[in-house]
Amino acid sequence: MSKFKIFVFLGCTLVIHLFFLNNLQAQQKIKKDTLYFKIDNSYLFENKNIPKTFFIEDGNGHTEFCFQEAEILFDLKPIRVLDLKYFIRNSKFFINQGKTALDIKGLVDFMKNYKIILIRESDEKTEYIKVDVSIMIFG
Amino acid sequence: MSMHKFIKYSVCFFIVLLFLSCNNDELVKNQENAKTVKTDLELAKFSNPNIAQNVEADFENVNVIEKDNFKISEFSAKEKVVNTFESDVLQSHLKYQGVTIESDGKSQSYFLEVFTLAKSAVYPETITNLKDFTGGLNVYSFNGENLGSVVVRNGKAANVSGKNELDVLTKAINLFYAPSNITSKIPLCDATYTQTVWLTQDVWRIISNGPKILEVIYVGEKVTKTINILPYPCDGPVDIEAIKLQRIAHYANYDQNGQYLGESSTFNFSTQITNNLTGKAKCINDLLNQKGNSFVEKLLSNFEGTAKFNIVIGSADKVFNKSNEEINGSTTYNGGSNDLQILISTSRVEGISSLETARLILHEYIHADMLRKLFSTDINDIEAANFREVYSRYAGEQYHSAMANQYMSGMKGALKDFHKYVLREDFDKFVNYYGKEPSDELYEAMAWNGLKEVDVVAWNNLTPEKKASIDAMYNNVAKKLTQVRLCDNK
Repeated sequence: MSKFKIFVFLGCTLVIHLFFLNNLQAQQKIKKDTLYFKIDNSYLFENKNIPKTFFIEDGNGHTEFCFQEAEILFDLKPIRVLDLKYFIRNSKFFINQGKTALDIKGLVDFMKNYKIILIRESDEKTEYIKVDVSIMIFG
Repeated sequence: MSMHKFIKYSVCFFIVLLFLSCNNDELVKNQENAKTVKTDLELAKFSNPNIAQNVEADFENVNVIEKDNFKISEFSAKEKVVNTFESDVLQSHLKYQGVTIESDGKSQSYFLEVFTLAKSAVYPETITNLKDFTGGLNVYSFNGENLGSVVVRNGKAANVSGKNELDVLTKAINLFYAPSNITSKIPLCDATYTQTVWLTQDVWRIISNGPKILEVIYVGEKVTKTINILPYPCDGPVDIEAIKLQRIAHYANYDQNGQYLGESSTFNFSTQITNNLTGKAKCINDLLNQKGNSFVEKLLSNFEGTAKFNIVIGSADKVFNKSNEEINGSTTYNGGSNDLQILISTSRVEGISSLETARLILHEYIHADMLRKLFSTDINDIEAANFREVYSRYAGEQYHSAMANQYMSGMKGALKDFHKYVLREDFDKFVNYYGKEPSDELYEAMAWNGLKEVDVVAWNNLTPEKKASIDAMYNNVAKKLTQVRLCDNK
């Protein structure tokens, strides 16, 4: 078989493969509502040493709630952008009983029900970062 | 022993013997009945695809009831993937059951698909106690032939299809019908209507090599139409819509050489631990995987096979926390993919003993296991449920508190065995230097490393003397353990 034929064969195999895998994923996809939050570099910020990870101010130092970048999207038109600090601190997951604490597990379970997009604005462009909710434990 | 006592004990002994012998006879009979029905029932031949592919019979428990000249043997059957209806008239689930009736020297077997009216009691999985049941029985022979329908209303059965084969079943049900004054005044509603059921199957072809899935191919959908005759609900709505069964999936499994491995109605992506470690961490991790004790084996097995959580473990030159301080390692749960990512700091590992490296890696695996248990949705995973209960008791540093509570003992044993049986060179050096084998306190002090935090409840509960003793053991002894070169200069 010539090299060309081998490449064509491999190419076709890959396309078929991807098509069927996408089909599988599409079958399993559940439509979720979208929540937009703006990266303000104060309450919600990116860590310079941990790439593609966005932390929030609240946490206990050993176990942290965070967002991990999954995909960058452009040209979205969000109807409403929420204030993450207000959103979390007024939720049932923010416990303020003398000492503040965050129910990270509860917050992750709650946010998993939504598609989360973080908005990163700079002078040149606005990026919409689709993220996964995560828990990071520092051992 | 007096004669009186001897007689008393002997009588008791024979009564017990008789009782056991009866039980044994019943067991043998039950097994014989099970064997007969198991041989006769051929679910795969059924034209109804849901029964053929999605129903399994429980032959272990065959109940036998005799009344008048009838001997009725029954066993239950269940859907592997439970389908639900969208219907205002019927209960949302189908029931299945097998029955063999012996009467007048003849034996007739039936496989029943049971539709239950919404207002009826749930089908009791026996035809001998249907006084509160109203619904329809789609009746099949044991080799899948549709024999027609029997309608039951408050325990009274009617052979609505008029087929002779259903007479024995109808009579057997009516043997147990005892009309009360109240129900006999309500006219029976024996009219039926025909309902069309569309069953859509998504057909998949799975190609695998051992536990690893190589390819998932969507073959297409298969739609099957079946007709059911159902009891007309006298007090139900006049317009009855056709029932539509939910889609079910069907997986055909093959190995990479095209050899057929069987069918299944469920499909779990096999999961695994992906190892991207380098250098010394890789060496120690490989040894833990190959030679770790039962605690380590069990810990790691939670992420292999058909578990729902993957681990990706890797090295990074340096690992940082949220405040940009350098740390030993981190474990992350990603809610989007269910992946657990472990990062081990190469710079930290280079400066510590081999046993301390093993502790560090185990510490992160334990974090991964805790996150797995915390986010597991498997209701049958009792261990995970117990862990969540323990976890919920702690405030503040919940993870390290729960680790100290649940994993401390296993960690100590794992370190002790790994030191003695794998890091033998270091173990022997210790014995030569101190003149005795390391005490359990050494491994306890090492296991506490990483858990000695202000918010860790178990650490806080220790007395100041105990804390000082653990610290001294760690600083004076554990820190003097050496690096053993076990894998190609690492």
